[in-house]
Amino acid sequence: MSVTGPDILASKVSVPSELRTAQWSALPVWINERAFFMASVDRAEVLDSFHDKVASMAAGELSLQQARKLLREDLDKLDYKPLPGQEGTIKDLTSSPRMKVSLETNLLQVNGFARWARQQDALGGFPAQRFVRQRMSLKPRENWPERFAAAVGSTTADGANVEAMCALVNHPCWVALSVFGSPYAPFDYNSGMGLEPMDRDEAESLGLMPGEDADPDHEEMMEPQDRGLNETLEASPEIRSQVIRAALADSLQGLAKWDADRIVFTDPNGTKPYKAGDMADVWEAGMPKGIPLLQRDAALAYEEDPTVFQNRGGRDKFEDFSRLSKRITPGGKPASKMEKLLHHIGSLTASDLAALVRGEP
Amino acid sequence: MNETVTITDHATPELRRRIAELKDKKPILSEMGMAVERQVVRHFRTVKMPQGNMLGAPSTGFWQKAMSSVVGTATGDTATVAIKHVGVRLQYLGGPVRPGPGKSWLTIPAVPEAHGKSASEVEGGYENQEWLFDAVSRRPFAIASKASGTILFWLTKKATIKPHPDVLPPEEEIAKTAVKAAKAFLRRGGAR
Repeated sequence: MSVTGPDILASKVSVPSELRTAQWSALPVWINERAFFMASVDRAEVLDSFHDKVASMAAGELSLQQARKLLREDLDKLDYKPLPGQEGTIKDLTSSPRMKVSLETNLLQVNGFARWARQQDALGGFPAQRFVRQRMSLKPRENWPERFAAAVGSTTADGANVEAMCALVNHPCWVALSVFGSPYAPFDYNSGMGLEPMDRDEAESLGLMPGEDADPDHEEMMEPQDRGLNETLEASPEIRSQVIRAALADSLQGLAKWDADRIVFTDPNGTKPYKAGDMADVWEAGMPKGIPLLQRDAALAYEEDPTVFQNRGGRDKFEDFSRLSKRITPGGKPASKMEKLLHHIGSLTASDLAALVRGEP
Repeated sequence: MNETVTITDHATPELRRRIAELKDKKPILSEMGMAVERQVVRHFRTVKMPQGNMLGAPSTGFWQKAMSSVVGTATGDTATVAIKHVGVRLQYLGGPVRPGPGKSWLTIPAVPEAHGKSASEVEGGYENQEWLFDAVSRRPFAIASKASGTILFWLTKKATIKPHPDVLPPEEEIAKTAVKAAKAFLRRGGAR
């Protein structure tokens, strides 16, 4: 049976989260391919409404216009309100541009992934694809030829033809070309460009096919790939959900965590209020490489030497310490050494902090 | 509504026999399906997309979404093209269009800004629009901008879309494409 867009959409796990586009983009692509998410949408019912509309569009039951109308009604019923100052912007879920980009990008992505999967089964006859305009945009991006050339340049010229903007289906240039890191269309938000399968004769005439003395990497482009799709499609919804939850927790480490069924930022260096025990748990989870725990370091410096902030010594550190002191809320029985320290820091008053600066702990 | 076109029995008996003899038919059928899929996608891109819309309005991406939804499949003597995109079937076969549930009127865009949008999405929504009524029949016939008086939508109870058989390549051509892909597969012995 041929894989279709609705099959792929049905296999996606809805993940309500506070994560923004850049943070989702930083996650492994396979997670993005298996999760249904929208930037900064942490309400499951809102996400489900979008998921339903994309599913109906992919099944050929709703047009974009009908989907937008129904979404507006749903969001109204759910009492969704954009944040003050964000009304009508791309961050406002009821705005036409946000709805259009969310619905269309998801629709084109699942259909693009499905065609990629079908073409893997037809690589012998259709080993390549051409990058072509499929929608006349009002302001088309003019730099696609340069972007395509750069994508080929950053990977390999074997199996690609820059002038004709085409390459073997499994050429790594497609991943390099995509802002989503995937080898299928669309390759950018609101893009009118897409892919058209290319037959073997044309691929040969354009010099894309590996010859007898081809590099092994070039030859490998003719081997069908799977991207773990079959496994995903065969797994039960529970298993898929477990896999995504574990992978997200692993990738995000301490930066964000599951709170029931949604992902929330832990804000380890920010201002989000925490009880001492919860703050200690956030720090305990660790951070992805390169991200320091600034407030924890300030707390430990204070523990080692309570006069460390005298005359605002280590100015940034005092700022971190001060922010930490203000975010710790009362409650809970401190158990560990760190929790006791945090409990104490949270009890410091403004005049206590001023005294620390004067060197009077 | 989806459009599905099935083309049968265009393979020669010899070709059908050779396909039937194959132990693993999936590769040849996949290539036949992809050939048909490519043909329809290319047809939408080269024939339908350049036609634009009557108002000369910016594209809503109708054909792009239609292209992405095309799925071609083959079973040996049957090639099937499924297009899961609302409106393609209506364009192809033609037919009447009536207002949706709970609606009394169809809104036909009168200006490029209204193309592909509902009345609530044009000119800042309903509060900036007014309905125009026929002086004699007292029936509404259009929605206009309050500010400029420009007619944004025509109102009608029913519209009839003419059939556009050129939405898809001729069935004969689709069948030939599937057969050509099968022959190419057999010629190279299924090698990748």
